[in-house]
Amino acid sequence: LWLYVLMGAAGLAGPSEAAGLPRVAIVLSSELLAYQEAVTGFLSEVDCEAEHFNLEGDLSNADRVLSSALSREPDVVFAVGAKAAIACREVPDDVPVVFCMVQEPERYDLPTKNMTGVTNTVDEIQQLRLLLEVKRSISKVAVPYSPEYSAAALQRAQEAARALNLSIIPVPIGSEATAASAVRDRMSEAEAIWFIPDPIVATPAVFDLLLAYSLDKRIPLMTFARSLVRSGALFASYSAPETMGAQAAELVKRVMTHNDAGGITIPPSRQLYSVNLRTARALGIAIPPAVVAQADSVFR
Amino acid sequence: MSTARPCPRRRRAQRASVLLWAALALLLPNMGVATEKEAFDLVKEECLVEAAARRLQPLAEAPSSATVITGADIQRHGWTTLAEVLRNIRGFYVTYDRNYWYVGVRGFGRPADWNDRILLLIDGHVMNGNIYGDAYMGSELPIDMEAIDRIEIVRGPGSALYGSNALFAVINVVTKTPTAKRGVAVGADKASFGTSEGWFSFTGGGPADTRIAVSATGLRSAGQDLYFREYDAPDLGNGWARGADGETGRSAMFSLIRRDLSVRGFWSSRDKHVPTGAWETTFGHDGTKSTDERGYIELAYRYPGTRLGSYEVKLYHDWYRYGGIWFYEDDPPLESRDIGRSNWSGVELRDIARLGTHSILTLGATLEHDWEVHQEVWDVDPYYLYVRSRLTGLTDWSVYFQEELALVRQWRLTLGLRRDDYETFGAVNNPRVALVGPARDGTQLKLMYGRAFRPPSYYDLYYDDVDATLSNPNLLPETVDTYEAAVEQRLPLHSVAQWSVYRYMVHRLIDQVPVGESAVQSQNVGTVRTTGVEIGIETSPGGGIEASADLALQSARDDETEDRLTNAPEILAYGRFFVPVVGDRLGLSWDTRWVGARYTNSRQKTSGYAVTDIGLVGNILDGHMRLALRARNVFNAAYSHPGGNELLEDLIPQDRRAWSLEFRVGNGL
Repeated sequence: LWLYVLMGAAGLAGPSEAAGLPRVAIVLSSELLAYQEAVTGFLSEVDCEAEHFNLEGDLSNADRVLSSALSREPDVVFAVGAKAAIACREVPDDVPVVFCMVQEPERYDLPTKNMTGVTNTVDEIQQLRLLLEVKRSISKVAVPYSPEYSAAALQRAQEAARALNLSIIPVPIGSEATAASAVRDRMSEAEAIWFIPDPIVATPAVFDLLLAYSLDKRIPLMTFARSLVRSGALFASYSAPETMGAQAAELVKRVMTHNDAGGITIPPSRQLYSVNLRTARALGIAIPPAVVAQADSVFR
Repeated sequence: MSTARPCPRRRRAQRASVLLWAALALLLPNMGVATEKEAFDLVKEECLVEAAARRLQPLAEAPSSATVITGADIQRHGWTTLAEVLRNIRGFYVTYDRNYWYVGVRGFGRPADWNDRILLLIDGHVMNGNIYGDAYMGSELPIDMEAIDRIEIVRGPGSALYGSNALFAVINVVTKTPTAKRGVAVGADKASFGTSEGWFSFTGGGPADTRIAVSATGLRSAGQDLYFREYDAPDLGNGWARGADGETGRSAMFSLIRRDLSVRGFWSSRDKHVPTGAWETTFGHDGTKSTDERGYIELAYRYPGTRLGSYEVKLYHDWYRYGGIWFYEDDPPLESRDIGRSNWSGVELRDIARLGTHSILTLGATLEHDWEVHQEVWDVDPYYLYVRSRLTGLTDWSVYFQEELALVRQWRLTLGLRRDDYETFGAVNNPRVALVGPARDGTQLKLMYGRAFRPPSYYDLYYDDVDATLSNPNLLPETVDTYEAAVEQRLPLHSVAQWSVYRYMVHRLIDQVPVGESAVQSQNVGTVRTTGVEIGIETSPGGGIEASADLALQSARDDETEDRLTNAPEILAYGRFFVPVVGDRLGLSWDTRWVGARYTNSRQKTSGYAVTDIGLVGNILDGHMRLALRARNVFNAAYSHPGGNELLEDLIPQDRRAWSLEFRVGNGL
């Protein structure tokens, strides 16, 4: 909120200059910082007259928020986060919607014919290539996942692994409480762990469990967020929310220029990664200097 | 909710704001760098969406007392029919007369009423037949429960939106949406009483963004040898009906979806032997049986909408077939046949419009044409015709509106009215008013009034065999006025408590009344009053554990005589839970229900009973294979249900302990 106030103050340019600018209704799923960063990236790339709406993390606010947003007669709706994107399925056909920060759009029957967006995904092959650059001898990678949410993600991981002559060890986890037994029973042959952004598995307790296992067995732990590398994972591959927001802005321009609402999704254009050299030392892994040099963040 | 504020209007200014932000991020180490908690919260966002997306209108805001049972609930508890689901839901209870399953709601369940006061929908399509108004709830609707995404159970009147038969509840069975990803699953079940069942399902995508789902099921049961003391005589097998309780069933359904267009179809058929000597037939004759068939095909187009709203058009054709073979005592036994056959088509238009920021208006209209309504009863040899009633070309129509107004402080007012016009008895209007909103943090309050109706069925109006059942063309529709207050309170440990108080006034109740020495006739008999209180709590404390407990106290009485109605228990209690035993690979389910005493037709009082079902459900091969071992009535309780007017028996014995082993495999589970 503080950021918004500052940004708003910095962006004041006089009401008369608003004439002719596209009206954008920005609908946020919640106040998460990553969503706000996506908005920052978005607004840095498109001239618009924007108004901000927030579901406050509760999809039951959708009717009310959308009614309010649509009453301003926006030219485009920019939905940030999965809840916002789902809520915007109800936006009438003649109002284009651009979304971003949604991991698995197809899970929610997105995009519809007036929607297009940027997914919050990281190319699986790129992640595994990075893993091989970090440690070439790896051949078996364990993927803890919940069948309920991440069956498709596991399938993509397996396809990517096959392309690189790696094999995936699926570690299905039904709940946080059962994670320890799943790790104990199924990960004995793993030479690396791939901690994916699964709603059931990605919890502090499971992360701590996998981190301890990684350090105990001296095998790499690959994750999806920079903050987890800072907490001790060996490395993470991810996309910056600002970048995804900026890409969404490009889609808005295309929609406005070509009247092409799309019905497509595009992946983030730029992948970043972080490494933790202290963890690397603990695992006895020498990360090549070229990998360190290109990292977005290096924790020493 | 809306943060209306000026936007950066020039890119330079925008970049300046970004740079300012970046500078601040560097100065303040906790800003601009997502924390570990942020990373997990971001992932969790999608989890919450998955649960919420199943019902875009939150239950708490629905202008009714509603319960949603998900496909996962059905799998965990092993419910195989709608009746098995409903008997575990607050305020519901079932009665089985060894031929049909009847569902009572909130203390009201007239014996052998064929569920004509409950509206049953599959994917929004009305399933009640148009001769008897009946809705199949048990094995007479052998649907593949694996194909169900969720069951929406809405208590109270629904005629303001749905029209006829929605007096006590609307039950909408929502099947799984076809997916582009190909999935196939097969399964089989072997159970006590010589019962076996098999299923097949397929879903996948085709060219031009087409998606299809198909499922089929088959059922066979030998049934039980049953003892009825009313027939305990040497020439009647000493009261034992042997080999006369079997049934076979089958069903198929499909969904074909391409963008905004969908085609759906359903067909089911069931043959059931009748062991009870119903309608004074020869007791225990293994040739006496009924056949029930139901089907429809529906074409729907949903235009997602303009700024003003969206609309939907549905065209459908339905059919219903009933056949009865009844053997009567004679030498040789006299065979009598009974058929009901109908075909009807209809169209429905519905428009949902947003008027400003505070109003959602739903407008709709239906037109339905009965091509044929045929009822016939005859003796085979010597041929003798008792009933032949054939009606053609009857048309009914309706118009309705519902207005949802957003008031202050998140309160919503719902106003609705529907007018249905029938060729048989004229028009009826059904209004609805509901006020829903937060009373304080975490507490939702609902105040509701509604009226609903049940038209006299073609059977009530025109079936006349002169001897046993007399027609009554002067019948008027039965109506119910309902007043209800409900509260939903969120509690710690992911728990929700709900309670409600209600009062139903049923006017011009249609009931079968003895006429003369041996005949019955449907008549508007008077007014019935049902009052009650319901309390329930559900919790999901984590670790995959889910539990609920419910209590319903209710009274259903004749408004003039104050007599308790038959088949109307005054206490219902339920408890169920599911606990993971070995991670997500093995789980234990437990359902217990207590049904209080009920009066039978002869004013006997049945004993209350408690029945418990348990199950062990195992998921292996990464969820691609499921094994389930279940015990229904695990403590082997002996209990009976009240019988209907067509039976000599006052009490119908129910199943004792029964085992089943279910196996399913496939990537479409």
